Amino acid sequence: MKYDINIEGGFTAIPKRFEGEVKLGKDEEKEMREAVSVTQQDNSQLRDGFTYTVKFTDEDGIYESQFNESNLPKKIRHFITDIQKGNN
Amino acid sequence: MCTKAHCYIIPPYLLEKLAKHGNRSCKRALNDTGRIAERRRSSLNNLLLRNQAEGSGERFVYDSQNQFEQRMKLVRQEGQDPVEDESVNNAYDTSGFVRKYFQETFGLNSIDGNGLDIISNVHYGEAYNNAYWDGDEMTYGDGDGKEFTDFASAIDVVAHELVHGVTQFFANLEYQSQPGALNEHFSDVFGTIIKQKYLEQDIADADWLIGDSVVTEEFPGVAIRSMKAPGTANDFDTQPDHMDNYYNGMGDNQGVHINSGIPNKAFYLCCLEIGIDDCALIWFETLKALWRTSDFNDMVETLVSTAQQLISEDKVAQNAVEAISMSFSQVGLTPIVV
Ligand SMILES: [Zn+2]
Repeated sequence: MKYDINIEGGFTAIPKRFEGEVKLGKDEEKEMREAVSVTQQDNSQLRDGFTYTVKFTDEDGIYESQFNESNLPKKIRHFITDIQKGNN
Repeated sequence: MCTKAHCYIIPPYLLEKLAKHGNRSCKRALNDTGRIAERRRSSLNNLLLRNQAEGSGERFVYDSQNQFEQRMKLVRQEGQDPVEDESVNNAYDTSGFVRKYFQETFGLNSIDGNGLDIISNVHYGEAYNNAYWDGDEMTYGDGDGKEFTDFASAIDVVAHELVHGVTQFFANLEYQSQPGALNEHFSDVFGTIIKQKYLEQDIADADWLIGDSVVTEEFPGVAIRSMKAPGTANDFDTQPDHMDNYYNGMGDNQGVHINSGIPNKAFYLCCLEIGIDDCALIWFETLKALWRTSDFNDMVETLVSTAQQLISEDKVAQNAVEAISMSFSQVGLTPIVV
């Protein structure tokens, strides 16, 4: 599965982009796609929170969504942390 | 002619439009309408809550223990002794300093004027390069140790985040485009004022940098932003210092952290003319008079009328209006002074 994650805003307002490809198990891939597809609650009083634009591409299609600090699914949060740490 | 009485029955969005076109009575009415609505809401709340007493702005510091969770473990609260963890103590001390500044300078009881408790979360997430205000509390990451370090230990970062709370309660500037850039501006303004007070600097000694203590030696720059020279703090800093270079893109909520460089530069110039304390009072009173959709022109107009009022009360320098006019003219926002 290919990923393209854009993180912008935040106190520093320095954008970061992570692009690459990971090999995930069928179930895990499905979980990731579902996490991107769920509609999330917004928190309009967030200030300096990051905005996360997450895009996954596999052979079946493209899955894209935008999140903020208050509604980023845990699954994706940990995926991003792993990428940042160089684990993926 | 729009009298105050007529304006009360006009919906707020129309008042905003009229206010934008310079109708002072409508602007006053708009602000009053907001205050009345807020008072009505809080009266109703008070009835429901049986007159909730004014709070005392107590500090609570939670340790997120490197999880992406808030209010995980309460590690220090008001009046308790320092703990071993310096991030906890720093968040406690700096938020106390910010609270004291607003109390002693403007008589404000905590960030909402009603004694709201001040809640901080430290050690949020893993290698998290950020600090944010979420409407109720502050959250600080430790930084990744490569480019950024502990956000909870920086007085200007803590002040910046807490002032997002002040802005929320007093002007509720929406977080996009020019109102959003003003929201960021007020946080940088009081972040830099409070940093100078904390470090006991005067404006000549100050570096006018925001976030200089959260960047590491490897970071390609000296800070996150510069009030004195927007656009020069680091290799990624794209803040303009003049309307000619205004950012029109969609990124960063239409440039809230980018276009704030324009009023930031004007604030710095104004401080050189009349001093930081007079500017602090004018900016604070202006914040209280602004509304959700205020743009840069509304800000400048309100700064001028606020300064005129404060001069008449002998609270700020007699040349405050000229200083504001000159400072904002230099960044391409020339006010019309009547
Ligand atoms: Zn901010």
